[in-house]
Amino acid sequence: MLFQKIIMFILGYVNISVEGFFIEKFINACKSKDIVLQNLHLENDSLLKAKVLKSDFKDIVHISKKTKCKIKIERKNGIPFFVNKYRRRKIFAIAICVIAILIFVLTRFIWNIDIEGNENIEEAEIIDMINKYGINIGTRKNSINTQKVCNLIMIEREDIAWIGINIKGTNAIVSIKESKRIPEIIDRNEICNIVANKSAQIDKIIVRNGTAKVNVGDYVNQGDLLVEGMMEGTYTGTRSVHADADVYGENTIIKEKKESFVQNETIFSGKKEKIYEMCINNFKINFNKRVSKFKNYDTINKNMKLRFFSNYYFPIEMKIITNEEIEMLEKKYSEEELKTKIVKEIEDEFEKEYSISEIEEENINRNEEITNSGDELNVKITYIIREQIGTKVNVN
Amino acid sequence: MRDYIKVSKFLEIPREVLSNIPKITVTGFDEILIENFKGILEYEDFFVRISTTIGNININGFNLKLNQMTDDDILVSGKIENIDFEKRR
Repeated sequence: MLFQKIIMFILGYVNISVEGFFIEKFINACKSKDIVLQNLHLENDSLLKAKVLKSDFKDIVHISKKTKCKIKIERKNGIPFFVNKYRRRKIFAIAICVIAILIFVLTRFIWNIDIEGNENIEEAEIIDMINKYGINIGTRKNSINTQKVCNLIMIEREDIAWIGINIKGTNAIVSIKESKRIPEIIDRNEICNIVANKSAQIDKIIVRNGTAKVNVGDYVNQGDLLVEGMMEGTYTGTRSVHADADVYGENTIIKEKKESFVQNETIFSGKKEKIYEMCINNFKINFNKRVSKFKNYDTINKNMKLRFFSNYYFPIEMKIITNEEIEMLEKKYSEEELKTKIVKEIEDEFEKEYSISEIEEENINRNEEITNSGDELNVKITYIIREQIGTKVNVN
Repeated sequence: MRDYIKVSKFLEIPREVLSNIPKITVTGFDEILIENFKGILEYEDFFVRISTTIGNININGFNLKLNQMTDDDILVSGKIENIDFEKRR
């Protein structure tokens, strides 16, 4: 029944009312002309209501004239009547077609590249690499052979262990697994030297095989020879060996910082202003062109790409720029407070420069020196890092 | 007519398929489906008279509707009180 209703809706049907004394005659005439009448029911003795297909209606008019019935259209339903109703709104129909075509065409291209899984490699670098192999913002989806690009990239880059490009909607998702550099292992039977991998002061040398070329307390630079793979014996003479030794070096790093007890502190006043910007690929439209009304402010940019469902991105981007007002306040620190603040700053800086995680805690010697000069506090921290500095290098 | 019946019996084909004998299906007390009907002789709110090749079918009831009418079958629905047949001689 539902199927029949759908077909009737597509073809279009009319609700008619028939009035007359010979309704049976009318029904039989319809039957003999193969006209399908539906939902026949009598409203009263001489008024019949029914549903008829649009194409059968002309015949029904003839029949009603023959059988002397009055016929009246109550309602027109279905797609043909609907189309007819909006026939004059041509631009509306054209616009709908244009939008549909636009959406269809725009979803054939890639409009967004997402990169996940990278730790050390910069996102821009990966994007450049992908662009080189033909995956760009605005490339056609069919023209991309992801498997080929992945293979080429994996061949080219040593530091990428695995790369996968997944195209979902208009979104290209690049997943990367970075490879860890394996230290070069030199076979025990090969002849090698030990060379300093960073400049330091020698603290301790334990030689198991080979001849030490430096003494404790010497300063060495990066690349200097520490232990040579040569042995001199009274009976054997000089012979080349596989040098093996532990060489420890010390590095002294001095960090100093001076700060005043009275300092300006920034506080957000809570006032905000928003500026909107629209980007169509690389074409920008500013909705607001004036300079910010705040004297001091912080800017936060937020980009929103237009997208349908979860993966259909479009090359239209909305940019929201939020300016938050900043107020400067004078703050007086006590000696203890200022000390902890400066120490923390120095520690952070130190950790950023030297990856502490690689060196064991016990091999770092730390010394604090604090001098108070009335209105300023000077903190000086001396770090002594003790670590292995020797690496084996093949002798050719 | 008789030949048709013989053939359909032999081939085990339902009789109403080959000839135009009506098939009447009554569902509950509110629906009657009549296949292979010829025409409607009378139609009132309370009475429907349908002609077939072998005679007439009279249906009495209330609020009778002819729901589905195509060229060879008709669905009468409503509160049906009684059905009777007039065999043509």
